[in-house]
Amino acid sequence: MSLGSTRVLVVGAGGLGSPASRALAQAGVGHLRIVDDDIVEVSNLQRQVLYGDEDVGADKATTAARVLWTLAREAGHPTSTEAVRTRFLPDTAAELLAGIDLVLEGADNFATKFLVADACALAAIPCVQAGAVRWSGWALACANRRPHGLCMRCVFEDIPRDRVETCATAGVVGPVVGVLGALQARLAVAWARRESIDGRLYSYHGLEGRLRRRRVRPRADCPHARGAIQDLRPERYAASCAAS
Amino acid sequence: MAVTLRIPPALRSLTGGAEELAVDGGSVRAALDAAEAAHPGLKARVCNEDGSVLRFVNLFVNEDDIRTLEGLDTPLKDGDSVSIIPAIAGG
Repeated sequence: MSLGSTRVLVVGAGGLGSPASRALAQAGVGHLRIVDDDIVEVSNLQRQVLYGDEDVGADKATTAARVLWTLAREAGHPTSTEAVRTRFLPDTAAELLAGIDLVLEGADNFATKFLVADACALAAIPCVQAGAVRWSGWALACANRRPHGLCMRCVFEDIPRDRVETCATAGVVGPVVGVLGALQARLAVAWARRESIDGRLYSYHGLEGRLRRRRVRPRADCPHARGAIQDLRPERYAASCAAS
Repeated sequence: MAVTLRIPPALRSLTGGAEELAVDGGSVRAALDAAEAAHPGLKARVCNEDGSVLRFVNLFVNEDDIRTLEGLDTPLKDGDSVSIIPAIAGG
């Protein structure tokens, strides 16, 4: 596997997905499948760097795929792109993951983050995830090796039901998702280069300008290690405090 | 033991905006209790009523997840830092 032959699914072409996919296109990733069902809004433009004023009202997936194709060509890469205007849901997961080598997840809600994590763990597909609100965020790469490697549930065990903020309720600052999106792209490139990517949880604080790296390990009592999650039943993800 | 408790931005409203608290505590649990005494309400954002850590919060002693150490009973020594890392959803 090389970067030029790597097929990446980008879940969410927003604040994280925009800088991450932009970096991958310009680095020469093989294929980018962009999944998002949202449209570009004026309030997105300060951080969703794939879009301009002229794109307001257009669908993000199609616009992102077009822009990424152009950016790759300008950088001299034959990257192919594909837009899928839908959401990553239990009944769309298998089709969206078909033929994919790595998933880059930048959704704005916990339900999708845990659903993507579970789908990737079950399919043994590497996944690079991140989240950000206000001035801070995190990033985590999981190789999802069998029988059980590190997964997001080893670190964040379950969907928070309350007491948390999302970017929809608290906002997010452009440079923060820019840093974390770039870090996601870096981790994806590292995976394509066969470097070890998991075992570290990154946290970033924009006001402090501080990126920290901490060790995380697979948990023996993780539901994936115990075989407690064997499917993507919707009720497992339905009752979250999803922002969208 | 004099240790540093690192407060995530989401909880700084409970610490008067402080990014770090200097607390005394021989264990992670004792450090959290000391912080709670000075800043009531903080521990409820980290632990359940039964004292266990909330499932979407991670605690690290220096670089290591306390789940790989001795959990809340992980001993601390002078100069250690305890970081609270909650799940964040936005993107």
